[in-house]
Amino acid sequence: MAFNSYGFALLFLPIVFALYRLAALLRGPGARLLVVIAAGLVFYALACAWALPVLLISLVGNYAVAGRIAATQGTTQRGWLIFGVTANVAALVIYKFTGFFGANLALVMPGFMAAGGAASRLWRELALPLGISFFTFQQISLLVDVARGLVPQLRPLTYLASILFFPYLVSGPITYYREFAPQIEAEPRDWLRNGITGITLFSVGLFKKTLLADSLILWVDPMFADVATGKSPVAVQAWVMVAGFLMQMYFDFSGYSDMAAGVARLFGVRLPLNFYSPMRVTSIMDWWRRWHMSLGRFVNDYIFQSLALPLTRKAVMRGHGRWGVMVLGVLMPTAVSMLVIGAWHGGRWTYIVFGLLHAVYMVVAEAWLFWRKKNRKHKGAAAPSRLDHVRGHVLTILCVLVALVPFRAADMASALRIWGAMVGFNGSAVWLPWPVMAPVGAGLVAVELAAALFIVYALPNTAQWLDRLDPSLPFAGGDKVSRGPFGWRWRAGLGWGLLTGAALMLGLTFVSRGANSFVYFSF
Amino acid sequence: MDRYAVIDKLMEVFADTFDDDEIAYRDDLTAADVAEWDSLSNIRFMVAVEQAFGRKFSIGDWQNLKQLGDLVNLLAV
Amino acid sequence: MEPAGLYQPGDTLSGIGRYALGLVIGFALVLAATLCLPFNGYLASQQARDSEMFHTRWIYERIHFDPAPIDVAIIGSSRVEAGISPLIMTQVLSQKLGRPVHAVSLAMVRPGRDYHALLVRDLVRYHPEVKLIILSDDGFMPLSHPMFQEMATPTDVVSQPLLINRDYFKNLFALPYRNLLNVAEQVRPGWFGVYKTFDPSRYAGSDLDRTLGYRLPDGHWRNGDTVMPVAQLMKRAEQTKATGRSRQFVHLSFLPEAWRLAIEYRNMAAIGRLADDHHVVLVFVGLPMVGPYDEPRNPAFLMRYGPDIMLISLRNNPGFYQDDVHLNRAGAIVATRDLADRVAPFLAKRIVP
Repeated sequence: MAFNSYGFALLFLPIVFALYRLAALLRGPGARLLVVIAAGLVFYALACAWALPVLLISLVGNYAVAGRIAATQGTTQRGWLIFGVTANVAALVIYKFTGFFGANLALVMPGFMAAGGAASRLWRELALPLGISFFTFQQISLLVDVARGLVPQLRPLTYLASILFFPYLVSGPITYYREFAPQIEAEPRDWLRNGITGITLFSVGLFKKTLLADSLILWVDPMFADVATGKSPVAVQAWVMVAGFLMQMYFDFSGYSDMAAGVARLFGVRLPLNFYSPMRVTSIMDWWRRWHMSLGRFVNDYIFQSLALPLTRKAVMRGHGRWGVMVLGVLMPTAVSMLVIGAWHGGRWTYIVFGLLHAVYMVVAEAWLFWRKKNRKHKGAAAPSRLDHVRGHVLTILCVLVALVPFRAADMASALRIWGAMVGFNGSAVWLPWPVMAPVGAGLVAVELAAALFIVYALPNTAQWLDRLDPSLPFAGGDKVSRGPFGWRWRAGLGWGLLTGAALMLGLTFVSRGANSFVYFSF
Repeated sequence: MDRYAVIDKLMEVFADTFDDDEIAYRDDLTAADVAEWDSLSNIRFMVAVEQAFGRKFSIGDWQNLKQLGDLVNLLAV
Repeated sequence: MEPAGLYQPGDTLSGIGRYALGLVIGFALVLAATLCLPFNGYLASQQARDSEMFHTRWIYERIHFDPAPIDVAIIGSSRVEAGISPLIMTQVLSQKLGRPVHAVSLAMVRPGRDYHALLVRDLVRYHPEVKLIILSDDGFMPLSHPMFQEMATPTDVVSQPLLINRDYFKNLFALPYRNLLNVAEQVRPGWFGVYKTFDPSRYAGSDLDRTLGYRLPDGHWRNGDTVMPVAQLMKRAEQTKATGRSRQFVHLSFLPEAWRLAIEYRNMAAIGRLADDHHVVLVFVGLPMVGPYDEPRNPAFLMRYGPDIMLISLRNNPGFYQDDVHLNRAGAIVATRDLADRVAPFLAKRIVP
């Protein structure tokens, strides 16, 4: 059941909200949590009933392991933590990579993987339980946080609600138990403020999804589908389709994230941000702080830090010098983190290449920054100028677009064709019609792309616009990001109300255009 | 070690890690107040502190710290 | 940083009140605007251009742009489209009554009486000469026709029965987008591949007879001389029967018929009123599925509006069927002759009072 459906927006959500309020009025915290848990189970069953057992096993198993981790200490605790994290990672790898391993085994050992044989049946593509990538990461964060002593108590109902909370259950943002628990356990108040904020966020998100993202997809998808059939675009088309996909995915996923934050807020819960104007960054490090932020944050907290601290200690103790510490303590963990982000999207070479590219970008950028800082100290060079920022911005977006090609392309052969076109290999090749509203073609593509660019560059992002409503958990880097030339800021009053109401109605209207799933539902 | 001695020693490490001699100690100093204090320099800071004081902390210990004063309390124990 | 705003002095609850009011007004204004947009039915009839319902455009053209008389109109689902030939009907009735009679098949695949009601309303308005309307008796029709959503006015959609109508809200919520798209098509028909004005050279003619067969937009051939091997025919009939049974719960067969068939009841009442007002005779025709089994029907209800003619003997001849529920051309010839014989007296009565 997607947020962008009439069934969710006009039936499921109002009913669950009414029950939640009723439970809060009549019964208190336990009943409220039960409503959240039941709603999560129904929500999941409506979307992906067959995978319900997987979700339930994950819930029971992780609760048991978390209990053991909390009750033990020292090496026993460490043993339980390693067991728990390994089991979660194994579940992810099995569901996401079995088919991938099988396909690659078949390339290496065609005999062993003969069609119809036992091996080929064992290593086949498995259906993916909806949301497994997201709730498994939340489970891992819980286990590690319990071991790190960041979770004082683990109450069973709060735990179940923290995973089954339907606003983020199937597609994030990846929210930590320690962030969720105090909010849902607290006595709900400020219904008015939460309600207003929730509806506003939901309206903005729905508008982004059904009007913006789903308009771009109308020409982005056919272009990638065309390339997948073996055709090669010309240079302009290649750049346009990749830029179009970046915009489509941004409006799709940030729209989803706004809607998730809005729905969660109706229940009094603020979620972590997922996007903060990622298209206006000046470095690739900045990109990963502001694009799919809850994933970047997870990888930083649980992979990067877990590797960086012991490795830095080791490097310092062995006296490796500044560069040695940098390589071992920063660059290695960074590269691993980026590869994990790539592979997390699924078992396909295209995602691995995506992760590999970002690993290279990050390592080069970190090393360059480190080298520059050292030089600056010696030579006393000036702080980065405006031109430096523009240069950094252009370079970063170029890198992002290049890495996005394998992310979206059907296979590596298609990705190579698009890369070839981007550097002008197919300059003379003709791929005539733009596969969108044939008589308008390129004109419509240009107008839509220009509108999308205007929105991402000139308008404040949702969190900036709504800062008076405190729409999310705090994000430290937010203050430094400009609001754009207009500096629009929400305030309570008739004007913004009219606009938001109109956006909500238009968003609902365009649901009828056709149900497009959210991009990140497939991860 | 007494609090003042800890603070003196800590701020030496601090100035060295973040290239910043200007910052004066405050109990409520946080990463948001120091331009150079990001997740990367944070790791270097952690290890430098561990080295200077001859102690070893877990990530959980570090994450429980809300402000610089908490670190001083931890080191002063 | 503590967020400023809501509960700060000067920006108080009245601000929130105004915001909430704005939300409601903004929502309502856009809703009202989309519902009041100028609507072009001809463009709407072309929305099905890529589907099996693509003949909705021809039906619209035949009713609105073609002045050739329609004395007898055949309205129903694919069974009637495949099973009743308007040309043979024209021939037999003209012969029997000794004067030219024009029969036209306005049948459209998929069941749903609400769309039929729209067709009857347009028909009596643009072809007041119509004397007899033959409607299909397809058994229980609890659903809304997909073209109803495309063609109906907002008032039509809102006034449909709310109870036991699983399509009510689907149809209602589809209106704003449908109307926006329609306006866009009025402004730039070329972008969407639709035609704003009637072009006789692209018109399939006054006497289109779909029992002769036609090609679907996806290239498949439908109707005509298609036959299906008997074994396959019977197997499909068994399957249809089984699905019918398994759907009994979905169709809520434990409820009173008037509730379950609310769409049928409401729209038959509307058709009945139009027929009375314009002195049109209504006749129902039931074309059976092949073999001994037939779906449940409700002739008692339909006979309040007109005779319900069941051409039951067809089901014994598998050679008349292209699949388990659709006649082929051979079946259509027999069925149309039979039907024409039996409706002729009603038409005669209407012509010579």
